[in-house]
Amino acid sequence: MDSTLLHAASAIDPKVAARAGKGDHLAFSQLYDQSSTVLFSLAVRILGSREEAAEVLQDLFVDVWRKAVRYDVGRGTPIAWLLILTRSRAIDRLRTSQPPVRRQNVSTDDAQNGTTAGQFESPADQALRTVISTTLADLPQAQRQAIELSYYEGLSPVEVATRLNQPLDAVTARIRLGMSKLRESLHTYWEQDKSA
Amino acid sequence: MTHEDLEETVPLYAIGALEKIERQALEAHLLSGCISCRTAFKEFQSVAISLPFALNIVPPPRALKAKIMGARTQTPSAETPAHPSATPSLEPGEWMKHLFPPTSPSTTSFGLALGMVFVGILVLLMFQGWKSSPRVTEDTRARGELQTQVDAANAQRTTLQQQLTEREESLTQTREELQRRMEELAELKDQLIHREAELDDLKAQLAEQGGHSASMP
Repeated sequence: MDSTLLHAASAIDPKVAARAGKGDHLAFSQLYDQSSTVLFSLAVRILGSREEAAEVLQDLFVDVWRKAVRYDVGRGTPIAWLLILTRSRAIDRLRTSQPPVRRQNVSTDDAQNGTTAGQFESPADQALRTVISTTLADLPQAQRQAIELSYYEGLSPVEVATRLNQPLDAVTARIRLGMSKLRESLHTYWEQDKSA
Repeated sequence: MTHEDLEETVPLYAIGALEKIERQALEAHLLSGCISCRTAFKEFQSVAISLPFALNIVPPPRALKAKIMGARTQTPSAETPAHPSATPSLEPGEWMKHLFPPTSPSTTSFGLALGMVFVGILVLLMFQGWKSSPRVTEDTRARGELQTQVDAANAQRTTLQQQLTEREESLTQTREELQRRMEELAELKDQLIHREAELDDLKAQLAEQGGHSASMP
């Protein structure tokens, strides 16, 4: 394997994810090592609490070990599978928390400043981070905000429109435009990655 | 909805921002085999997956890995009180044990029964041999009969061993089937939890809409 991909969360070997769910201690440990930083960062962003984020990760990995959730190659990459599960569980927890946590104006990423704190250990993850951070920072604030509210708080466009006091059509158009710009940037990155 | 309408909903679907009706319409469209929408969905999904890579990096606590490694070996029943919502009533209970008894006692008792049958046959053969011993003239004939009986006993033992092997294979298949069913059950449980969450959302939205319409003049 390419050394730059060795510890990358974005390049977890599907075999590692499959073996981790079949009682392979080494694979399980590797899956955790490669994915836990980005998963924990996501859970903290959604929940705003390190303690709760740690509980989400613990439940998730224990479920992986006990086969309560299974990795299926047909459903995408291992990190896509883990991120979807983490997001879904963290948002479920956010919705059921009493009182529900609201962080309308809080954003833990610094995309609007064009900077993001910290670096991934893996060059591959860091390259992806640079592309996505730069593109997010270049998006108009309204687009970025609509995407973040949808993705990190699980709000529907109607809820985003209510929260931001904006027309629904404007919100959906902003999400579409923002996502399309991110897609274009990633297209270029994927092409470069392929040729490399 | 036209193809163009559906195509426009793909980015919203990828970040989980689509209402249920639109989501179902798009899912049906994707399942119908629209290649351009499928390609777009995969790419937008990759975009959604990339978003967390832009977040402030917050490394998990050092102790978390050890905690997870330890939690794996704890029995799920010990955790039930701490996470009641994580183990809904779909969890298989004690009754499963009656349907699928543990392997080792079953195999042991069957092996024990086989051994007892074999010992019984041997005792019978010895008894018959002892009975016929005074009559020397019949020894040759008796030995022939005994040999026949030993052969029959051996054949019976072979049959029983085959049966034992078949039972063990059947048990292994049953265990694998149980494992598959448990995994399917776990998936269903996960889906149920998500559907329940969606239902709760819809209820909340309905309640909100009801509240808005009630407050309007």
